[in-house]
Amino acid sequence: MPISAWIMFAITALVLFGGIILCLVKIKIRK
Amino acid sequence: MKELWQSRTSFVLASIGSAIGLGNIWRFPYVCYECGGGAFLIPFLVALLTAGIPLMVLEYSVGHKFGSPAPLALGSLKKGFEILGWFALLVGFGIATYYAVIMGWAFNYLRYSFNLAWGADTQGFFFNQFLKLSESPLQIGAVQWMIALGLGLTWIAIVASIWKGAKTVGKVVYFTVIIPWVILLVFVVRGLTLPGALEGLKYYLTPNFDALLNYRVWLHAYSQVFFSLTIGFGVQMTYASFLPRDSDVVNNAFLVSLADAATAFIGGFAVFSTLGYYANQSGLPVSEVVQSGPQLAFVTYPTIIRLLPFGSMVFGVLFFLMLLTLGIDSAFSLVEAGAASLIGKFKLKRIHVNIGFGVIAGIVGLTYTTNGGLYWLDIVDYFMNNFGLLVVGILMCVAVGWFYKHDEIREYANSKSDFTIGKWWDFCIKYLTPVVVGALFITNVVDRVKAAYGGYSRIAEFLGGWLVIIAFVCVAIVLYRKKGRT
Repeated sequence: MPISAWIMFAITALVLFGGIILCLVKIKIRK
Repeated sequence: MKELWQSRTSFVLASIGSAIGLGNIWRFPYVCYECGGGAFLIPFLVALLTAGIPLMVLEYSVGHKFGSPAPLALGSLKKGFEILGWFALLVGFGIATYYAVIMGWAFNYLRYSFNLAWGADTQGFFFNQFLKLSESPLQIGAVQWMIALGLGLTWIAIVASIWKGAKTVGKVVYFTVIIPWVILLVFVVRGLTLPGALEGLKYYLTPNFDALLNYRVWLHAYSQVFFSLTIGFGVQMTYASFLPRDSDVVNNAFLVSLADAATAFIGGFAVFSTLGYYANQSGLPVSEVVQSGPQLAFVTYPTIIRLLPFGSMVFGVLFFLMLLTLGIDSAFSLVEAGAASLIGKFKLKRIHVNIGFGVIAGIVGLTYTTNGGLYWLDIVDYFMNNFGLLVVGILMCVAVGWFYKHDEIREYANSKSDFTIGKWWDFCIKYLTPVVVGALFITNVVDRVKAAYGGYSRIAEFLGGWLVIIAFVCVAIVLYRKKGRT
């Protein structure tokens, strides 16, 4: 796969999974 | 007594289950491939942040603030908007009637998986032997009883899942959300370890940045996000009305939307890695084997399953079990939203509403089990999504953005939540989303003026499309005007 495909993969994964982790961390803090 | 979720996890899982459906597997990867590969992920993430999440926050906030199902909550914003709520639920009901038929197919294919009954000619098996598809929608033919049996089983499962409303839904979703996630991961791992997988992923993720200059790619991104999140059906609004008063709104909306998008993104790996394997085995380029929709699930995937070096039967069973569990919670959320609204306004008994829904929707669904059923399913699906749902989406934004104090809704959401949203939300709801979704709607109207949908005749398009929409508007007005019981 070209490097540009890997970059798009990394950005999307970071936004989606990073976002999910942040949401879960916020829930944990509230508890 | 008002139904409430037993825990935050139940609500989040139910909401995720409603959002994640067959489209995450059979629509998103294909749209991504068609619209610039990896480059499509940019408009997709933009659409998620500027339309998907804001609309999810809107639905949760309105449902939670007024504590009642969609029509009654929208009626609290401004009385006439109750019609919009009923129309949204009817569109959802229309979708549930054919969604259950697709799940009926999956029930049959689950059985076929045990001996790979589809054989080598999966195309011929699906269209000629299984559906016994006629030449045109007007050649409706007879009910196919095996599909009708699958449809019956699906409705039994749906009615059982909503039997006691949020109480049973909150338990069922632990299975119907977690099982497909686990199976999807199994397929990702299996797919990535097959020869040709990387070649398939190249088609999925290699970006063509020129596509970003095409406005239709951006419209596709917004429509993908809109359809995928189950927003505009009143489902999320109704689900949020079952939350206790001190529950979070904003964090839940982010979590559910991101989980839905992440599932679609991961789904692409399962689909394209196996398509790469198929291309590798058949000697064809990936571009010639790529498919979407029922064709992907019931023709291409059975072929790939048959070609697997070992464990074809196990992967066949897992694949159709994944389709069933992915679809069931979307289907029952559409029905539950309608049931809760009828119970909320007319104080009907839940048992009567549940059984009534199952029987009526099952009978309507028989249309799609006939020889011409697939054509009707295709026409109704197109009109429900591209006209029904888009109109609801636009009007919902207009209702909150222009006819209600939208900053009050935002402040309400912020007062309840783990983190807050700023004025960007008001901009998205008041201007951006209605304009983009309005552009999508106008594009669809222009397309339909030019030619009937899918090459069907104008009469078929009218009966399966416009007439259904008109009927739903009439029923929505009747339900609005009918006095509720207190």
